[in-house]
Amino acid sequence: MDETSLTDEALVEKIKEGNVELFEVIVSRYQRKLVNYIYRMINNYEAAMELCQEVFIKVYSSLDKYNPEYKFTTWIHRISSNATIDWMRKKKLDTFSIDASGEDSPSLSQQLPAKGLSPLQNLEMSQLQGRIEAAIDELPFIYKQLIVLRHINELSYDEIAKTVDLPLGTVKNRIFRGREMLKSKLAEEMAKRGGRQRG
Amino acid sequence: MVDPKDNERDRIMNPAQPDDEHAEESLFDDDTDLPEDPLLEESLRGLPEIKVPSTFLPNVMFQVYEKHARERISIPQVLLISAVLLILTIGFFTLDIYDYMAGHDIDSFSQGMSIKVKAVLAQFDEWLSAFGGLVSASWQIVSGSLGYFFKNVSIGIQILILLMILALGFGAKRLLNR
Repeated sequence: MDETSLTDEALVEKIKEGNVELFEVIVSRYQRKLVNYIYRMINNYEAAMELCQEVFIKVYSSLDKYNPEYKFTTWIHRISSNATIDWMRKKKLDTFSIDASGEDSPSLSQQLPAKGLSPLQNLEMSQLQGRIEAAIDELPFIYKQLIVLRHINELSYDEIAKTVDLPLGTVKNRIFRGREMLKSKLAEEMAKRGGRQRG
Repeated sequence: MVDPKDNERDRIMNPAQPDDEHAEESLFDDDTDLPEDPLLEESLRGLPEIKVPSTFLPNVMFQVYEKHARERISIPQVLLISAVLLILTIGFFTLDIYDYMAGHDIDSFSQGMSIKVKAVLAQFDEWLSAFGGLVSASWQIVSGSLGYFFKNVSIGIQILILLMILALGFGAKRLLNR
């Protein structure tokens, strides 16, 4: 049987039985999501990679405590979220400007140029993406975390509520508020740019 | 002193001006659907992904296997491995003595062993005295320069140098903490 087709919960059971090599499937499935989440929260590429490795080791060490009644996605995101908060507390990092990390982390747009676009369109696209990234980064932690989990990691509202241990209603309200703040930040930015171009 | 009940009463009496935080928290409850925002969602979905290096997975799995091995190993296994290593060392040392005996026409094993042990101890002694000499020389340099520093340098320059050393230490600590 092909192990890659197993559900996360079934994989965990097999790993607990001693098939450690199957943890590789778990890492392959979640590395992208967790790295993206952690990077967007702490805005430091090297630290995000290191922290993500620590998260996977923590996940492996805690597999015995995992209760299969709950979704594995929620559980792994919860570990990741707690580890990120601990890291930020340790570094006393409340906000971290996207520009501040520019020196030690590769630009997002440099990493993945959009395919099938002209150089000008590519530039415009990367500028827009940069503005969105900056706007997300400026959000207060409580909104940024939920926006990233919802729109980048594509978790359901219910999964987010379980991940961050908040009532579902609070999660919905904060995501709504976060989106509004994001939209207003982007509108402000567009207006500023428009004004500068006209001037 | 403001009575908290007054605030609550005010909120009930003036529903149009509720507490901001409270208003935000009460827009949606568990059963209310949050309206989606396709345009914003599309923009967020279009954000580029952070590339995960190809070394990431092997690095994680290496640590996982290491942890797994450490968890599985028991005290009897550690003792067994130690015993095997000890036997191998004794075997190697014995062969080395026989080799030495053959090369120097010695018939008695105890005599060969005694010479070998003496040679090893002499080597160790040599190394120890070399290390001791190094430590002693370093100490003399440090104590000599400190003596010169306190006797011949003015108090102002002494303070300045101490402050510079402190600043350097502080800077190094900050650098390491980053």
